[in-house]
This record gives sequence, structure tokens and C-alpha cells, in this order.
Amino acid sequence: MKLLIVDDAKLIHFLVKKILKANDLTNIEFQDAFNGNEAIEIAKDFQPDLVLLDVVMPEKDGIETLKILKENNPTISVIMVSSLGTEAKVTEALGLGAKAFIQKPFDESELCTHVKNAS
Amino acid sequence: MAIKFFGHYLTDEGKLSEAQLAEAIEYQNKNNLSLGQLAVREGLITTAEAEKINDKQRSQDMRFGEVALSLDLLTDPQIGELLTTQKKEKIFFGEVLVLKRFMTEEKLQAELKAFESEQNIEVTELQDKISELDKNNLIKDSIGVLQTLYSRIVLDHIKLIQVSKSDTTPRSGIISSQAMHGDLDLEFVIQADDAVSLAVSSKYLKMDFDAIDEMVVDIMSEFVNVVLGNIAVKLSVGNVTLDLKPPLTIESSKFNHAQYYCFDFITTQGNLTLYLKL
Repeated sequence: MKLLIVDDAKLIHFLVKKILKANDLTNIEFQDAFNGNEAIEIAKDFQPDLVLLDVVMPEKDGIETLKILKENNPTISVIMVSSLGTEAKVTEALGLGAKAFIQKPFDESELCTHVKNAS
Repeated sequence: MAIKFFGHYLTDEGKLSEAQLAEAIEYQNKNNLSLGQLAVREGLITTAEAEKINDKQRSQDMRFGEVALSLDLLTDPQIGELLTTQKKEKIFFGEVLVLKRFMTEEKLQAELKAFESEQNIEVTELQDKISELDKNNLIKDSIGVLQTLYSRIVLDHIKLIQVSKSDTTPRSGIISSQAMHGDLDLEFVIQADDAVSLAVSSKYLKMDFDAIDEMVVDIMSEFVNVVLGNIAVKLSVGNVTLDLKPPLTIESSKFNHAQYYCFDFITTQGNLTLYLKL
């Protein structure tokens, strides 16, 4: 499985990988992006099975990034992972085709379930 | 009232001399061993191997245990055992005072009680101050969410002990800031003692952090992001549109705390200050 992690916080990349490894989700190829523009470029070649996408990021935020990722590949699976889970943001993201919205701080089991479902 | 540590409270009150304070702190530092020092003491690795782990640890975003594992110098059970020993052997400041016979156990308990009571402003007085300042429940919600998330992440008690405006007393520690904009504007800043930052980091990543590094700074920014995001969620009920800017770390020399409302919290690990600009 190919997983693209998009978050400006380096520790989230580290944390997600640590959690997945600890839960025996080891057959995963990772790519890291630290802002929306980077994610859009990487996704073109990497063709991820799942994108974990933060909302609040410099340069291009998660909602704008989601729009472009979906334009480029309408079947791409994207899960938003953000602390900013306001009703407006969640509705907007799901309306744009995100599969789910995980509110930070997230539970390990919640993250693993979503990743397993995407495998 | 300035926020202070128990040791400084005792010296200010004349219950402990400066020399005794220094001796107690030195004893604590000397006896609370790092994971590497413990591993050497237990004969699991050599000093050279500990240094090798430390060198690699400094150049990468990895913890001592992880590096030791990757180098096949320690096993998972050994690291678990070392962490348990480290926790078991940890000496608290008050214990040192009794051990060094600077005061009796009874006296220590009495002084701790007096210290706690001095650090406490009556809850009603705090609530009155907050009510005077609050608009749209911004402060009430900010404090509530911060306390809830700190307790949930660190599994520790956190208590608001002081509210002030245009406070100029400098605090210590990493300063992380984030702005919320939209129907309500707010700048949210947290400054945490190093011990608090290390506790947040250790719990957040379920790893042992014993020194401030780039990862700890990153975690404190993320902590602010998580708290402010959850505040925005709470405030957004009722068609309030809110957005967040990415969090920032501020150098202490560039932080003008006099421009903010200031809320001091005390935790088991140390102090944490919330600054709000409305």
C-alpha cells in the first residue's frame, strides 16, 4: 500500500509511521509532503492509495490541496487529519470528496482502522 | 503574585538557604540518571556505546531507546526495564530536602501545604477577573479546552492559579504561538517550562524525552495547534466562521508578553503560561 502523509509538522509524519508500525501495519510505502504544493507534485508520480492530509498548512492549505488532488485524480482516497474539525471545515472537506475527517488529537485505533480500510 | 518553584518559595520564606537549595538541586541532577547512564550502570552497555548512541541520537530525530535498538545494543525488554527503573529511582525535590536533613518529613508536608495555599488565588477571584475580560466566552473556552487536552495528553493535573493583564514578569521555556481569524480574532501563545514540554512530548509520542530538541519544539507547536483547533471547534457552534494560521515558535527575546492577557497554570511537572491577545 502507498501512503502519502501531508502535514507541515514533522512530528506527525513520525507519529503516524510509529503508530502504524506498532499496530503491525508494516507493508506500507510512505512518502512525505510538508505542504499542499509538495503533496500535489508527489501524488502525480507516487499515485498513493491513501493520502492523510492536514488542513492548516503554510502556502496551500488542506482544503485547496484536496480540491486539486481530486481534480487530478477523482478516485484518490483522502482522509483529512486536523485539529480544525469545525462543522464548516468537515462539511466542506467531505463535500469535496474526502473519505473521512479525523480530529486531532486522534486515537491510534481510529487512524489504523482508516488505513486498514484503505489497504 | 509571581509563579515560583517550591525551592524558591522556601528560600524566599527563609526556610532554606541558597546554598541548601543549590545542594539539593545538584543532588537531584546527579542522582536522577538518564537512560544511557542507567544502562551503563546496569552493565548493559559500555560508556563508549552510550556515547555512540548519544551521538547518533543528536544527529537524528530518534530517542535513546530507539537508537540503541537500531544498533542492536539493547533489546525492547531491556529498554522497558530501564524506563521502569528510571521512574522508580526518580528523586523528587522534597525527598532530597528530607534526605539531606534540611527539614523533617512533617515540616516538608506543612511547607508543601503552605506553598500550595500561597499559589492559589481564590477561584471566585479568578472567575471575576475572567468575566471582566471575556467576550464570546473566548477565554473561558480557551482555558477549558487547554486544561482538558493537557490532562488528556499528559495524564496530569493542571490548575489555573493566576490571571493578569500586561504582565511583565518573564517566564521560561519554549514559546509556541498560533493565530485564529475570521468572525473572531485571537492570538494564542503557550509558554511551558522545559519539564512540561518534555512531559507533553513524552506522552504525545510515547517516547522518553530528556532534553529539549527540535522534535520537542515541534511537538509544542503541534500541541498549540491541537488546543487552538479544538477551541475553534467549540467556538464555531452557531455559524461562527473561524480559520487558523499555521503555528509558529517565537524566540523569547522577540516575544513582548506585555501585550497579552496572561494566565498561569501549575502542573505536577512545572508551570505553563497561556497568553491571549484578543
